[in-house]
Amino acid sequence: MNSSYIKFTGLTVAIIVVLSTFVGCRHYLDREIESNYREDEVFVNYERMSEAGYGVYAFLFGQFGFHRIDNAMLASACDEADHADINSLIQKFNLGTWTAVENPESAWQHFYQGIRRANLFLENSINYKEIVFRDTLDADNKSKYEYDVRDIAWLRAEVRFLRAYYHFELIKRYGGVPIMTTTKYSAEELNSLGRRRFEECVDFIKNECDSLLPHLKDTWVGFDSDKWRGRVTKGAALALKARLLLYAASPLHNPSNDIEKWERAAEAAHDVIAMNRYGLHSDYRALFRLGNGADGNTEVIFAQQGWNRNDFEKMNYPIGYTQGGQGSTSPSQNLVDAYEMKATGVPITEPGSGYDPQNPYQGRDPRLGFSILTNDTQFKGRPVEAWIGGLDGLGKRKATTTGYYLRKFVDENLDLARNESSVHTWLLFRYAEVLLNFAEAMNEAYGPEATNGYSMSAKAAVDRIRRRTGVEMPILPPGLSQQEMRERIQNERRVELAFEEHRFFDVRRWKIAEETENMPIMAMQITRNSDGNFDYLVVKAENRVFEEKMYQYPIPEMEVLKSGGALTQNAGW
Amino acid sequence: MKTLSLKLLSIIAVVFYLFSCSKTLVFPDTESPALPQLENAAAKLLWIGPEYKLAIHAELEDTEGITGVHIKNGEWKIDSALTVDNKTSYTIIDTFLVAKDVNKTKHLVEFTITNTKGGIIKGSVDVEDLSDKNQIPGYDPDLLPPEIEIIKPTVTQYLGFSGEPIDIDIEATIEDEAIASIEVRVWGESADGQPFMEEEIIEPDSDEEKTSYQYAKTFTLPSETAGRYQYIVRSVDESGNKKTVGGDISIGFPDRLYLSDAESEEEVIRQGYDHMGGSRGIGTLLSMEREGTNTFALNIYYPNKSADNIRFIAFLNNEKPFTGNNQSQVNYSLNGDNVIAMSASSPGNLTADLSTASFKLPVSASGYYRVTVDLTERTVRAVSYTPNINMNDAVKYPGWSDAKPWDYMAVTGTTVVGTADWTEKAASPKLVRDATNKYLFTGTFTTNGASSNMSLNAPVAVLGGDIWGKGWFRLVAARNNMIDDYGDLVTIVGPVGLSGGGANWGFSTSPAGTYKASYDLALQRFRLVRIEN
Repeated sequence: MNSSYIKFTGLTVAIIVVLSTFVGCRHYLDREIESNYREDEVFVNYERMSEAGYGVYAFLFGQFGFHRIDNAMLASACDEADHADINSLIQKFNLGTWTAVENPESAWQHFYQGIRRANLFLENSINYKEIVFRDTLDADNKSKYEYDVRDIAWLRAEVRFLRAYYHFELIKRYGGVPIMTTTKYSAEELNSLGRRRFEECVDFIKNECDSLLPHLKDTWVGFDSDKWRGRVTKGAALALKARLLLYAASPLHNPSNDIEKWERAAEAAHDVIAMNRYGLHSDYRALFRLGNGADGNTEVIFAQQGWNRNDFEKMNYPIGYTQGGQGSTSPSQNLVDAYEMKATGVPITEPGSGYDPQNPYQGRDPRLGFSILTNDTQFKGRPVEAWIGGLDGLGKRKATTTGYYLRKFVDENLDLARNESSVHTWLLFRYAEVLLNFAEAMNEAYGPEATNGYSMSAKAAVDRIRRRTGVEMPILPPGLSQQEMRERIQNERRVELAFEEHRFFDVRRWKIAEETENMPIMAMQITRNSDGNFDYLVVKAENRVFEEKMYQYPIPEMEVLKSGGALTQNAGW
Repeated sequence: MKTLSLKLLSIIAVVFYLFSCSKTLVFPDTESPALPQLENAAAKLLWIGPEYKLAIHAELEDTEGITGVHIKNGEWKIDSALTVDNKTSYTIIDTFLVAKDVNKTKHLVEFTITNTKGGIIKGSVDVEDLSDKNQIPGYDPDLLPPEIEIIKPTVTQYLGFSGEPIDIDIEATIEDEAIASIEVRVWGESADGQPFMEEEIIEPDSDEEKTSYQYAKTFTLPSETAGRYQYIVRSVDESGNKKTVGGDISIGFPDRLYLSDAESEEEVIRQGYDHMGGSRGIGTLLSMEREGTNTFALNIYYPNKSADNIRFIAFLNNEKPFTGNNQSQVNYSLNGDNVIAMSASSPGNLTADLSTASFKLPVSASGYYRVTVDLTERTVRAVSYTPNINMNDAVKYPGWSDAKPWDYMAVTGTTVVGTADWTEKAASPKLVRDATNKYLFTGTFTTNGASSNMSLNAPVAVLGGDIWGKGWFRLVAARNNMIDDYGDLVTIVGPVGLSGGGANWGFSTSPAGTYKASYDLALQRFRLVRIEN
């Protein structure tokens, strides 16, 4: 790993720890800890002020990515996977027992804390030029002064982006929420803040993206010895806007199907495409193992900066490996069935697809093998034994509950017995998603094959993803109806973005969750015959419960009560 | 006192609690109250004609009377509630349309039975899979869609510069056990938003046509402007299987665009060719960089003289302006149907009618311009700019100042007549500075051999005696590393400073002869035309 990345990453991790201390100990014994700065001691020089700004990045951690909900991935709360530990809190999503009091994902508190940190920084760094100047009166420091001023100017735009992003993460879950742009509320005012309409929140986030855009850098790659890799760029702001407008145009928030919303979403996604900065990586599997060099990759628009760890491998290596896997994320048969046949480019359910139920993983979309470990696949020097009685097979304690193990994101090369580790970064925005956002919006706005003056049609955008080097799936057939294209795009998202925290929200914004999330999670029961061949039988792994009210999260009960009626609860909760 | 009161209160509460529970609880010593019974339950997955059905049979009994039954299966989305009207026995005979299992699957059907006393039992039954064989003897469904082989179009990209309508032949062979319909459609729109749509739907009549149909028809597309179109051949068979094949047709979207400033066809044929590199780049044709979907641009120096002859040459697919792996043969002319130029009557617009064209850029002064060609709008734009090059590098540009630029550049090399050596001699041919552009040097030179390793040099007088250490203009990179906007090898001559700088290799020309030459310091453009053998 480039040592220069370590600074920003290490700083971020340190900030997380410090912030945790702040949050956790806020009233601890009601005494001040002298080693902490008071607010009026922070915004006095570049170093402290900038660290306060970088601290806002810390809220990118904990609510995105690897096994973050009681050791489970969010994928295990939708039809992508099952979490092998039945006692994990994530199961509340699946059993339908989550409530306004107990939600496995405490996003409300987390993101509002991040927003408050952002507002603190933005309010107190307004006079950053003066603050920095006081610190650099020495004439010799002129260049440092210019550097610092420029850096804070960028950082202010980045923090505004993060504040917008955190608001988006809230509305994605809760619908309209209070918009917080200042810290200067009295306790009373704070408690009486009401929810804003979803559309108002969308406008706020969109306007923020538009206005901060000119103040962001194109890239941090190659700047100042790569010291600041991983910070927000123009591409991230445009990608957030594209995702935001797609959500706003989707059936959950656009019940009257206002076509103009889709048009705006298409335009926003195309703005990212038209930057001509991004493309598709030539190695789908390696894309998720780029480490902190991810932002230098042509496909990665914005990613968390990670650190060396092996807990994800400990959680997800198949259990039979002596180095100790726990197989926690068990991909579902439901998802496995979504991967098409490579030769024909059609779903396995279609006659003539070429699918062979006796060799169910043969000839499939290569992304299946890149994302999911199927039975008899070579992994760390031996085939995975997911069959009954096999080393990794069904029925063993902590074994997969579905007959599959996770491969995406997993570093196959670690020797856990020697506690080896590697940098894991979570991709927050990548170009393939932008292409799919564009495809979906274009199909809804103009139809499958119209370009409407843009550089590509919905079909061409999907085809581009399917033709990625190393994937090379057949392009979609021409002449699809809008509905047919909608289904193909939805399936393409499911496959291309599997386990990346999209599906959970996609089925909600498409308003198909009552169908997809009430389907049982199916598993593959594999029996090894005496001749070494396998018999495959699909069985039910688990029933799932999804009710209409679950399209949106409940506002935490405590927040509703504190607000004295200002915060209205979502319907059904 | 407070503690004592609490204790008393607790004792009273316990006594009250015991008292309230003192009534003897009588548990029946007989068998449990009757619950609904599920008997002889069976569920079968059947393939009946084209459909898959779940057939359920179950007998229910309850002495209290059955109020309802709920039948559920998650993967088939069966969630059916039956009202039984308090009958003491009830037989379920029901079928449900279900999806075919693509994999062998173990299914369960769950029953929830409720009686009049609120008693509930849940039971389930495994589904017996009998779907391997169709229940209708002899049923042999056609599960495959029609086969469609597209024979034409074989050409799907057109330049369409002439503006004449373009005929697209569509020919296809469609085969199936029983074709129900064939739909052929060509549609799209021109860049100026004019939609086009033609469609034909055929329902074959004869048995022969129903199993094999030969389709052929010509569709005529407009080409006044660029446009993108699609075509499909879709066929549905009598079993409802459907297949669609097709492709894209583009008009006016070339893959490559070049700018030619050859003053005549002779300057096309005799333009510079680096035989050592097997490449052009030192001639009269320049590749244009693609800037947008159908927009191309490059920087040039425009002399604004009567001899100006600016034309744009377009190519489709893998066509190139030169043939052969070594680019030795020219593959275009100045009057081909892939040539477009400025309209004489409207200089900002392009026309393929060269008889009405002007070959001057739509500007009135010489200078450096960014030329942008939009082939969708068919426009050309030239925006003046000032070259931004650092001439302060004393190794690359020794003795140069804006106030006193070089008077000439010497042509050196062992095959250069007058030089016959590596460095400038008194008789060395010279490219002389242009009267109006200090970065441009023009002249002629003669070579007496094809194989050569030539250079341009800053005037010897400015080298201060360091003839090897400064002012050399040679290949800027190894020959395999110099490519144009489309990945083709080119030769680029640029300032490398010392004689061993850059790729440490001079350019070559071929064959021997006399050359008209110019070198542009700002663009690093070396332009050669062989004028005498």
